[in-house]
Amino acid sequence: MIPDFRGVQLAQRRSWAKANLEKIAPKYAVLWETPFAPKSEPLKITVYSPNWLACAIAGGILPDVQTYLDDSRSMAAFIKKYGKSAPFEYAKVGGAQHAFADPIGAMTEEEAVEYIIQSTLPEDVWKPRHNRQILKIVRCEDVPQDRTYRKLWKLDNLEIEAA
Amino acid sequence: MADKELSDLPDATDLTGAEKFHVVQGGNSREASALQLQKMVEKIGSDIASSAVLGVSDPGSYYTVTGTTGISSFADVRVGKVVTLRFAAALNLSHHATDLILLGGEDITTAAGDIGVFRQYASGDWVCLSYFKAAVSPNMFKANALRHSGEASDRHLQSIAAAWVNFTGTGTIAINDDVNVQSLTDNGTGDYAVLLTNSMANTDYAVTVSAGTFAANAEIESLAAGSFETQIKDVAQTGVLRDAPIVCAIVMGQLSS
Repeated sequence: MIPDFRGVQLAQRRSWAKANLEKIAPKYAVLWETPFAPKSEPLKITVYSPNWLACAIAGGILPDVQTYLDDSRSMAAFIKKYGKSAPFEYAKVGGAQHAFADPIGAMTEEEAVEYIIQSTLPEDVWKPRHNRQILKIVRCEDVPQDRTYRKLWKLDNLEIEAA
Repeated sequence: MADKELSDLPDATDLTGAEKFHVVQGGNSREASALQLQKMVEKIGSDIASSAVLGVSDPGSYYTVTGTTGISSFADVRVGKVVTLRFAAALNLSHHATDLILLGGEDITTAAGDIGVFRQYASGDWVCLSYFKAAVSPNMFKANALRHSGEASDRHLQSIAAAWVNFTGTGTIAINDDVNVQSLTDNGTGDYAVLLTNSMANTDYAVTVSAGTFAANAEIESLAAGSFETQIKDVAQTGVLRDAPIVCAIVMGQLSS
């Protein structure tokens, strides 16, 4: 049974989960490209932690993904105001929303992947519509093991079925 | 029994609760049992609505505090009075150097189900003896520093990793194990970004990255509060980026709050 983690710092919740939940091997990987990146930039591959996935599936531990988006916007606003060289501190923007936010309920792994996309990838990758595909969810085992030409990997030249 | 002084009586053995006492109640003599006296001492009082000066009283030793109004002191009952309070909702308990001394000298934000034990140590002055967070297992604790029994001074808890990760950087990248890591992004050959679940408080934290199984130079490309990027370069090939079968990273510093 998951304790009532309201008011408990997220890192502490993860520590509890590390000691009490079994890891769950992720099924999916997210392939994506940065919009308007140089043509030489290969696609990126994002995977997620088995410990984190156990938290997502169990419920009652992770904060709403919106808190990460709010924090990203706070950080972007800080950088816009003070410049990239200004040392960022959460204390200067009223604290990190995600660190003590109330936990949300259990997710399926598919919902967890959506959460990862929104919390990890830049918003301009997953939010706006693009005139070409720049994001694809695939099964981990479908990602090529031979990385000899990794620099050349693009979504339109890797023939992988979407999961 | 008649005409004997109290001091002439033999000492009683342990009370069972059934023994009788003479009490005067409303001007009339009544009989009360030892168990009744015990019940009075341990009485669960009526719920108390939260207020700046919390209205604890006699008799009773256990109360549920309702409402969300902040509490900065307790009512003056009598020196020595001990109460156990169960908080039904989130409110702020304000530390005060004499009126309400809280553990660690810090305010407490209560949560539903939290329990605190308080004692009146002087006229109108209370001290918190212990406080239990309902959500936190007794196996978890909060402290700023730790000291080994053989050491003369404390080590700050920031010297314990805020996050760590061990991942496979070849084939399909995969996180093998971690603490406080959410995701890993393969940006290209030998180039990885790690996202933390609970961000760091600022960008002044420290990351140590190591990689194998070849002579590798692990460089930190960028540090953001919630993530960092590292590149693994092959020393034998004058700094060419190379995927590493094993990459380990340890993050030290202050977590965001």
